[in-house]
Amino acid sequence: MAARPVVRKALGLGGHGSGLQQAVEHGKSTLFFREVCRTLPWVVHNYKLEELTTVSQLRRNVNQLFRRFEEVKTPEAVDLLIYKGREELETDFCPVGLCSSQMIIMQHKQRHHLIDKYVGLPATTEPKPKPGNLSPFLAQFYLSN
Amino acid sequence: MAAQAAPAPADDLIEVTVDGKPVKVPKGSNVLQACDAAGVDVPRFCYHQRLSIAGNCRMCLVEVEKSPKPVASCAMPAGPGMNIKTSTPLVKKAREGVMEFLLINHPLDCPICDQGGECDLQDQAMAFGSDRSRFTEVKRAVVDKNLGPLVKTVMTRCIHCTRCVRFAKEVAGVEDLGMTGRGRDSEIGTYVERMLTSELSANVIDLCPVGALTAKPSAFTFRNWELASTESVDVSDALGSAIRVDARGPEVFRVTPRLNDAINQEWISDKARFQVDALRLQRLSQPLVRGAGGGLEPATWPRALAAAAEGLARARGHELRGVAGRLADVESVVALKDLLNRLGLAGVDGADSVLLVGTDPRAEAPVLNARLRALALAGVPFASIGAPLDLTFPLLAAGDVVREGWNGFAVLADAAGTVGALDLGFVPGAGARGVAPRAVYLLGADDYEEGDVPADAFVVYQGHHGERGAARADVVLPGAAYTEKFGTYVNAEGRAQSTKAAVGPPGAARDDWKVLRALSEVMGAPLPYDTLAGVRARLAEVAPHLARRGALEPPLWLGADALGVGGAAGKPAADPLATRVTNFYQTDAISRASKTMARCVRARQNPVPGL
Repeated sequence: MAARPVVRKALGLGGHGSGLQQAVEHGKSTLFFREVCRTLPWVVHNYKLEELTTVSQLRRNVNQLFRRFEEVKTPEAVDLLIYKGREELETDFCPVGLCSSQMIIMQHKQRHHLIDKYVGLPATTEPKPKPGNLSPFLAQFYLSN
Repeated sequence: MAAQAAPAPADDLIEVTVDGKPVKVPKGSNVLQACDAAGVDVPRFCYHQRLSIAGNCRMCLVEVEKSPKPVASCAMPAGPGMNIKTSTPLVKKAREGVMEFLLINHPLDCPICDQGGECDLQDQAMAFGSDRSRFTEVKRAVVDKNLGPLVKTVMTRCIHCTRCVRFAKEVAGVEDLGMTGRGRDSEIGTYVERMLTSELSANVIDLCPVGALTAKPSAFTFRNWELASTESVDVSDALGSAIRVDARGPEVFRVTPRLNDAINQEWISDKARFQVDALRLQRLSQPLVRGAGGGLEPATWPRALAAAAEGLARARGHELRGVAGRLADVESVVALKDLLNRLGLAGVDGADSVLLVGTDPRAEAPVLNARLRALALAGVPFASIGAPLDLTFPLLAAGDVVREGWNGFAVLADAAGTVGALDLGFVPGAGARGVAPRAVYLLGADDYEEGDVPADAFVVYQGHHGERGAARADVVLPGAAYTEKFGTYVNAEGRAQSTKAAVGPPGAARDDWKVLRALSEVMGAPLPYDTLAGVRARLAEVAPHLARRGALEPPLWLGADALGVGGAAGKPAADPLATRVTNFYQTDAISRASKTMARCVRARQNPVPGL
């Protein structure tokens, strides 16, 4: 779904220009994903996550978070998602000196925020249980503890 | 362990007055206990109700009428008619003076001290100290001591209350710590560098009123005000000590003892305290199914349950075997028992003499050993049959202890789940003997006998740590550890107690009884309970005493015939009687996964570094 004109204007995106379309095709999100991946070794070291996970495991988990929005193709929506991702990265993830904002060097997220959101993520995506033949107990069991 | 101190008869009471309020205390109490009885808080550092009286910190000075000087209330016996005053200008000045002397040499490093926020010295300096010091010289510095992998020392902070020295000597029964030097040069230490050799050594961390002795494994990892506490029960041994589990977010950071006079008083073993680092290591956080390539592969719950159901369905009747592990809670055991069915200590405090048979309480339940030691020091004769033991108290020859007409018999279980599983009658049925199982359900069982799990059997492992059982399994179902679930455990005395969830289970792990309940539905034989209350109602049907939490259930003594011992059938065993716990620090899946416990094992092999 295309973003409303007012949103596009606010983000300084203009209309559906061919330039934006090109940016998506060339993988703006892929570039951002690589940027995230480059920070992961620092994250693991800085938050002492070595005993819980590895860089490659964390990369797989982040990859899954990206793939959750695989069907989003609208350039404005992709930009918005990257903007939100960058916000998350730079308040959690950014190594000192790589980014320019003052917000970045402050570690707004603590270790347990990262564990909850990125480390504890199950590597397999649970399919939604089919309603009907399951008892309420089993339906709830498949969803969460 | 059940006997409580009976209230003193009326003629054994004396009346004293504290701050104008009359109060009756038992004869032999000291002035500080009288103040406590009157509800008046007297500051203290060296006094501790379970240790001998040292009287060396001088913080508990109070004024007693007709006494020319303030008196140390912990060391002064209360006399009848004594008039004690705790809020006079004399007392205030005395406290300020003592505090000023203590702070002369205490470093001002509260911002980097792990005790900060729960430090007696910090609190009392705020409440009773002055706001300035007249001391202008240089503070002293003391070399830190290496006490092993558990206790971190910053000896400059020590105020020489000697609580740790008295604990080691009187409760733990090891003369490891002592004071050397005089006056300004006095130091607490081990004289030659060596680690603390007691299994209760880390209790000195709780006893230390300042930050001189703190926890080494968790140094600098948390501030105590960040932690959320949950009152729970320990499962590292069969004693079921009362503990408090402190967590921040999804991680357990600390376990401390909780007061329970009937079980652990206020001590816990080093294993109970420091095995919690394993709760984030080697965890099973998602279901696994053995793939075509022979390795375990991640799977979703529906797929894993379907695979488990298919494998288990191949076994008929007695070909299906369930093995409950050392850490299985009663709820999951009853669920497993129900599922399989659908498909096919006595008190010691009153003892007059004790004979230990083939057991080593120091390794199996160190806190119990400390209580036995107190009994032994009080004159109760102890003897042991089996391998030679060092229990920190003297043992006599068995012939001097055993008497005619004995009726006391207690079994010290060596794992938290044992008594509960036996209470539920989780024993092989008569038809199952001699039948090789085609499918085995391991409920947290990593210490199974090889013979219980034939090589060609289909194995389902349900548990929280990836170890021997999970490696053997065809399907792995992730469960919750004891800090992550509400589970009932029955301790060696027969006391049913419940753990409480301090954090959630990791990843896709689920409560153990829920896994069994879900599996039963997938197998087409759903268990009739959907809630924890439902499981506990079922428990109460099977074993009514499990519904009475915290109450003691004495064992039913059926006589030697019921055990199949004695009489003509009794033959001496070929193996010497010895404890099954050969390594105190590593007894179950959790403690074996703990890095701290592994460090303890290494340190125990070489208690004096450099030798």
